[in-house]
Amino acid sequence: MVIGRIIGGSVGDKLIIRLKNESNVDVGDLLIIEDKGLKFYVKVINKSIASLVPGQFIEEIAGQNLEYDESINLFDEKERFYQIAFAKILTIDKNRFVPPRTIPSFFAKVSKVSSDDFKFLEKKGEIEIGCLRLGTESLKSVKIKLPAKDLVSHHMLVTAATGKGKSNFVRVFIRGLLKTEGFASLIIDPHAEYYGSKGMKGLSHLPDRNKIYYFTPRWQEVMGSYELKIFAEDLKPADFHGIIELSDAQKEAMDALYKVYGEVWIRALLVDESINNIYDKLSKNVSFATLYALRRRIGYTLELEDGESGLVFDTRKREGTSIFEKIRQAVKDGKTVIIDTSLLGSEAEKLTSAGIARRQFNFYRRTKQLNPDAFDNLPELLIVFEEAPRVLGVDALRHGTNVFEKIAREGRKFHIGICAITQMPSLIPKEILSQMNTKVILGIPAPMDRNAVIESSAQNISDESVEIQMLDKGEAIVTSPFIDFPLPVKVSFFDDLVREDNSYKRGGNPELVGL
Amino acid sequence: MNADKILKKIINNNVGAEAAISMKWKSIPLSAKHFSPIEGKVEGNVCAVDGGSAVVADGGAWIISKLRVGVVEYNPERKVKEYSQDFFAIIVNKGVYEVSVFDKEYNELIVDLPDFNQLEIDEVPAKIMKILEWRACLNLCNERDNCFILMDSSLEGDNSVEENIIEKVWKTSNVVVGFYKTSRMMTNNGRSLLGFVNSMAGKNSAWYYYPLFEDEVFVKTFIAKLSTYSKYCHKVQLFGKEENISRVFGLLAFFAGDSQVPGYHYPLVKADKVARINHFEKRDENNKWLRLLKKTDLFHDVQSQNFHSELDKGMYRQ
Repeated sequence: MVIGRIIGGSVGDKLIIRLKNESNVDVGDLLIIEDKGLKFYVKVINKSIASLVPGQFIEEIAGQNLEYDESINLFDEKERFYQIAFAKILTIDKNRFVPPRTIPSFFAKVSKVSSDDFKFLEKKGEIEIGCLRLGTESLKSVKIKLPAKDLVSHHMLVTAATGKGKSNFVRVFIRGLLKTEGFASLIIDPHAEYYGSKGMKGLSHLPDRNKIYYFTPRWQEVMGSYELKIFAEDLKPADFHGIIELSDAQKEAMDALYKVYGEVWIRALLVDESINNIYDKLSKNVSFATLYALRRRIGYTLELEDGESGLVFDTRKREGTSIFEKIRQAVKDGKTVIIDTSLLGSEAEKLTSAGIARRQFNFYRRTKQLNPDAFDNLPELLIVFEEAPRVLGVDALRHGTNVFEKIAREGRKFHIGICAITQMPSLIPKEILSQMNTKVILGIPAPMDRNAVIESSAQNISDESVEIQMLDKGEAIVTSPFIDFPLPVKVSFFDDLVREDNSYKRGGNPELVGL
Repeated sequence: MNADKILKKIINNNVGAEAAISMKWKSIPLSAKHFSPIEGKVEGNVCAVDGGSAVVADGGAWIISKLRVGVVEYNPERKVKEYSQDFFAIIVNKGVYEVSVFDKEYNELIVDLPDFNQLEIDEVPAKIMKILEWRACLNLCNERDNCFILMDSSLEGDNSVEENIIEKVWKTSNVVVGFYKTSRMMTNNGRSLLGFVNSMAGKNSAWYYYPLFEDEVFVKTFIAKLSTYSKYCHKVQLFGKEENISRVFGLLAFFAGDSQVPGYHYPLVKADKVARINHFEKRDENNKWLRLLKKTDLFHDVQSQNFHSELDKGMYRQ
């Protein structure tokens, strides 16, 4: 159905469309313009009201009504008062998709899209994240699938204000990854929201739950989970670098301690040795003040409750396999590993996540260098972490580089990608934001954060600022070099997918389950 | 104030006007009792006819003019129809005017035309336009019964051809209304009739004033303010079979209710838009004819008329 006609525009700017009255077009809607054998895919980026009646008359009519209660009576109202849509050309179908280098003619017919117009999207990828969104509506029959192969190791940014559906998106994405061979993921979960519990659907409710390894301090309460316990002997000075704030003297003291005491360096500092002894053993090269400060700093970070052990960290001798080894094995086997850090303080959580990520990165890097054949068989790894500015923010990186920044810069070569989740992308340096090739944008009201995302996107979404501001819960724009144009998406609701997956698993028709 | 002296010349200390002046009819003294409020049911369709013209080539002794007649039809709910017809008029002065009219496909039309020889050559297109408007009105009348048709000017013919068409229109069952934007009708003591009657009406809502003259035959003349929200009143002429004047003014007032132009008949505004040959179109047509004329000797004729514009082009950036 024709809902508008082209009345102006340019290639470098916007198309201007006069809309038919009551055509019900919203910002974010996708429209089709067919002209001279070309099919233009365009997106509405703004709307305005317009009139053939000069502005001064309109103001006068409104004023007369307001001040003297004069009724507003207009003949040919639809013809004289109407809406204009401003649209950007996303792509042109010229038997193949080409970037917009031409525009449709005056009065070219503008129509709403149908599912047939997006058949090409079906072949695009493996990870289904939702359906095509048209403004505030959606085309349920057009499923949006992202290509896991390219996307994972090229990093992702998931960004939105609170309550817009970041966690839901990640759950939906990981569900897709679970169904895809050749991928592993490592999720740092500071809010204990990914595994799921009795009242909250999580990844453990999916039929593929056997591919999930859950490490939690509450392992005794969660069936099938593993204890999250990190022994101090498995930590090295490098685990603290860039994660907690340390002076150069403290960093040097840590290196000296490790050199003298080996893997028990932390226990020696915190439990076994007096500062005087350490001072002597370090040949009096480190001041008392530095050693005391370091003891205090590391003790605080490890959250040791009885001086020896805490909820997660333990200075006692480890018995059995280290958690790092268990996680490495799980990742190698293509599993999804969830680390519940919800009970940890900020520093302990950063130390835990950085420690795990660093070992994965080193493992992948070493394998590539030493055993390229084995490297080829490793699954691509996605490391998911929330509150990204805590480790990738300008403030965090002021203390020095850390493993997350390293992965952001180099991970691609070693098949490791990060999925950084944040409400405030403006706190992340631009060069790191630009490394995150795929961006899932779910509604950002703050102009500063919006601009940070827009300026660092792989595709030009500068015209979508209004739309990004207005995105509602579960509505997203996905930009990526691996898709033809920024895709408006209605992200699936994870709980619905769980129900759907489980009903399929039982072999029933999902619509009849429970009847 | 010295300016008061000037105003006194107009007012002449005698504000009381007695009657309208007419060369044709005997005036009836102006009186408040001749005002009637506009009420009445709104039913039936209204058509409006207007014309537009532009000289697209001027050779001094000849001109080519583009003419357009616009027609719209409304019922009280919506627009029913809108169309226009384009014509070209060629007037060649060979001592007497030779006038030809073509349609937009350049087929010559047989149009009964009066003698224009008393007019300046550039006044002729407007007269042809008027005849074409009346022809459009007659066509509407022949297709319809009991319809209201609005013209934006006098219902009295200027010449025998117009009068002939008007007579045919009069014989149909339709009501034809002539709606004037402005009028130079006056009172016997030098006031504008419209101005004086409007001031007599005070702040009354919509009204019409009738009669102005005794024994008007064929065409009746009114003054009317068609909207409460308008500050203007207009001269309105009417002829046809309609006996119920208040029904006519009810319908006129309804269509004069548009908030952009309260008090003026909206279908006439629309017909004017449909018929208008705007600046851009005129320039395009002008260029088209100049291209053709440049291939002939007639281009020198055009040059006899266009030095003003050439001078302007040279002196001012356009």
